Amino acid sequence: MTSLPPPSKVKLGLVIDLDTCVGCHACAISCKEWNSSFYGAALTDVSPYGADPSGPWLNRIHSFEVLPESGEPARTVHFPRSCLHCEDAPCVTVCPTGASYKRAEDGIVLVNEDDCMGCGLCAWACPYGARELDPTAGVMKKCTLCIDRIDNQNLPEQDRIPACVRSCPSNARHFGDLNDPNAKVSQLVAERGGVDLMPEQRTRPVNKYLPPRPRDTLLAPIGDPTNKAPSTNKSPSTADPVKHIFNLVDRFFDSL
Amino acid sequence: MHPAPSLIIFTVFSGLGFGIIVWFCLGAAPMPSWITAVLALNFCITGLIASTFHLARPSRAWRALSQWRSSWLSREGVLALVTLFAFTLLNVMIYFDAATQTIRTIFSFLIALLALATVFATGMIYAQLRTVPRWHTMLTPCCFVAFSLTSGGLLVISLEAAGMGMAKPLLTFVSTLLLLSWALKLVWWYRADKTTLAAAGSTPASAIGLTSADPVRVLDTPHHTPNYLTTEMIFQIGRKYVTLLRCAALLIGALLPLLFLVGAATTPDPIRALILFVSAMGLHWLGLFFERWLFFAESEHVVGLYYKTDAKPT
Repeated sequence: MTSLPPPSKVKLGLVIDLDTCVGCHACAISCKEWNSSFYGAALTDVSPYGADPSGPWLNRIHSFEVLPESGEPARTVHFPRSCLHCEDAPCVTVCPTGASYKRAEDGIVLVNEDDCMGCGLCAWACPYGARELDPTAGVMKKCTLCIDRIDNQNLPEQDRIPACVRSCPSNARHFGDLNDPNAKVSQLVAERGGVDLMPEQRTRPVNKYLPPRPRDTLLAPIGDPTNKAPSTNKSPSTADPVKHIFNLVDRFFDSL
Repeated sequence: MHPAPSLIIFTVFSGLGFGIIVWFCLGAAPMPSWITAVLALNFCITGLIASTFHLARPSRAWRALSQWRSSWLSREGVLALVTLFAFTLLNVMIYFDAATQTIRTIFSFLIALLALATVFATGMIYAQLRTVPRWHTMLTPCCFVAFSLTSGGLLVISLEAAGMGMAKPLLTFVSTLLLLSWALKLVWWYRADKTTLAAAGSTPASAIGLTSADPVRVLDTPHHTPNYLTTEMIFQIGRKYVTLLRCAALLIGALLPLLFLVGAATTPDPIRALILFVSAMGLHWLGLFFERWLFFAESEHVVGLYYKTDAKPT
């Protein structure tokens, strides 16, 4: 049914830390692997060893360079992009067959692969490019928030989180209930000021992104009059005379 | 957006077919009216079949009729089939002279409304998408309806000219509609040119979740070969090419047909008039193919913000 359900009590989603992500693509690879190796139709790889490999991935990592106009050095931001399981998911309401739906109990947006006719309108409706067509299966595929892992009693406790969260080596991905103010994810969002992507699109995404923290400012070199930091070199009251001699030598060489 | 031939054929032909239905239901079809009806049905059905070529799994297309409560694509499918069924029934009634004239007239009027609603729904499939700001306006389905009426109207005029001769009021009406529809399209283009992604509020910073407005440039893409998103939703077309094609659309779809209509209206020779009417119709349809191609080719989807940015590398 492609009408949106009433808002759910539990809003499962991801929080992705753009400050900590190193752009290693481990999450993208583990997502692709989990969704290709287990039961259910695999994510297609078209010509994987050929010249032009293609095929759907549910999670893709972009890298951007932010060029501050203040003259500070540029910074790199690695950006993992996957479905944000929006509260006002436009991909759900445009679907003509009812294949695209939002689960009422936890808000996860899914595709019923038995009903999908592959028209691609949901992909057109998604601002984040979360949905891709699987050319072999002929259906649209997207992040499932690993519904086949999160409640899977056959997996050890620590594996009952999405594959991408499990595999992130820099702890940049977090999974939880964003409607629960006591959950770790909600606290992260509150502390770091987690944002919605493209809020002007009015999708009200559940996944939040933590923006990069402001950089530490670099100090000027020692000896520069703008360097206000207390310097041990300049302190005359060192008790150790050897250290004092070495400090004098240091200052001599700094002035050269 | 990648201009898919299946969608261009679908929107132009189904618009044309349902436009003919509207004119038929307003009494403009010349006798015998079954010729007009058959043409209308052919164009509608060709258009609908063309749309299935855009599907990866066309065998499931029947499921698209189920979600009319929420989906414009579903509504368009339902309306199209209801209109075509009702139109066929009307023609059967006309052929067997069943029911009274009053009932048939009321039924015709309702079918005309259904046909207009179908074309409106077709336009809404694209206009509903907030992700393509150029399309996201009520002007979009209005343009679809306007062109549906002009393309259908020019066919009906040609049929009349081939038959018993032209009804002057109809010619004046359709000519005016032709002018107005392209004027509306010019307004659409004017608005579309001002509606960049940034003007609609979508910038690389809002797309990535950055809190500053500093320029952003792409450092590395997730993949170095095309994928579904880049093929479907990111289509680059040069500015000069766009201007050329728009002029071509206006020349072929508006200017020449209007000139030919004036020529046809003023010539005493009925054969010459018929040739001019049919040429006007054909040129207008060709112009609509240009216009529809540009509709898709010029559009920008916000997902493009992730793949190309405006900041120049230092």
